[in-house]
Amino acid sequence: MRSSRWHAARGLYDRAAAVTSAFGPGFTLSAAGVAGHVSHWAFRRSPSVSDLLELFGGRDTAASRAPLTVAREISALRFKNRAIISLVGRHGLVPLARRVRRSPDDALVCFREPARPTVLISWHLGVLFGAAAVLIRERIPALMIRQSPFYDPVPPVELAFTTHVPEARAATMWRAMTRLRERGVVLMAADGTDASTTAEVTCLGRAVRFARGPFTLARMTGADLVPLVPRWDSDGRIVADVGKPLLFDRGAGINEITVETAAARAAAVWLESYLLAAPAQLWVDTLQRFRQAPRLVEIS
Amino acid sequence: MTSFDAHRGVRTRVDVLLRRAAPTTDQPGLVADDVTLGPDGLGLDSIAMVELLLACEQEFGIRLPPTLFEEGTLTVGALVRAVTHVNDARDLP
Repeated sequence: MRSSRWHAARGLYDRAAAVTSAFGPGFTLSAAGVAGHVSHWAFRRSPSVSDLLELFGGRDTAASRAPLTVAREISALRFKNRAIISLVGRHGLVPLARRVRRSPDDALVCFREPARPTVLISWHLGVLFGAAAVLIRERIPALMIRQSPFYDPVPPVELAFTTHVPEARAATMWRAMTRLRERGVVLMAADGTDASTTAEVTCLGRAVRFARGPFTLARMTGADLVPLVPRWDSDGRIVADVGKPLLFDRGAGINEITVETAAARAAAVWLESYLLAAPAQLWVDTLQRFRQAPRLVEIS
Repeated sequence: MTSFDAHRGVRTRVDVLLRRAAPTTDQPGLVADDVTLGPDGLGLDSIAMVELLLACEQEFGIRLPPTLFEEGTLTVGALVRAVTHVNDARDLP
């Protein structure tokens, strides 16, 4: 339960973000980043150094070498994401899409007309709504599956929602199936766990579960599973970190749960290596979920 | 074979798939047409519903339409009608 002081501070911050949005998204987002750094320095807001050391300790990563710096970057990311909510709530996704730096190596252009059906999987990391902004900027005709509406779709990206109603979720999955059968692209977050989840897999020494949806779709349609995380670069532009298609055993005769678990395990390996390389892309909530996940006992 | 016989044949084969997807179904005879696939009816979750549709496609060698859910909640009767419709259309000369 969050205190009334917390809500008041957030209300003030949201109002400030709305006022600064008159100066354009670049200024708003830069100001939000500075506010996040200052807030962490002045009020010792979450995440703490010990939070990061608990999650990353013992691994050779910036989060264990310079945890205070990473903690402040995460705080800045949180403030930027709040500013994005204000920005997108008022102006839609187009201003955010304009902040996307086109991929120099055409890593995403191939998804305009993919050779194979593709499920892009993302996590609650990096730039809020950044995956949608990237798809719009790169003009990828993807079906993006979200839990609930917040912004209007911008062609060629279409939106579908999972909601909490099983029939509505099934309708969305069926729509995604259709898209993939036509060799299309579907984007889903893998860390929404309101519905069915995968078996436990290991990530950062924790037992975690992912949402089953992307893995089920990949299994049913034979689609590639490709990780995508949008992040800020040093110039304040959004760039997409795109992984290679995940490799996992889809062999005949293996039951569906085994295939999905293998896919989830491959996704967890990719996610772990990504977070070790870029710990500052963690959202505070995502970090806390990792910390709360059961720690695996290492057997020597 | 009359179209009634054909429909009854589809109905029976779909019923087998329904019972496989929802083993707790204890209705004697065929599952009623107005039973929904979701939690208020057969109790399937979203993934199990999609698995059932794929099982129907495989059983009849058909491709069900993307518009299957457009009329809202999917019932057993609506599923059987959709399967029959696609199956009949495929058999047209």
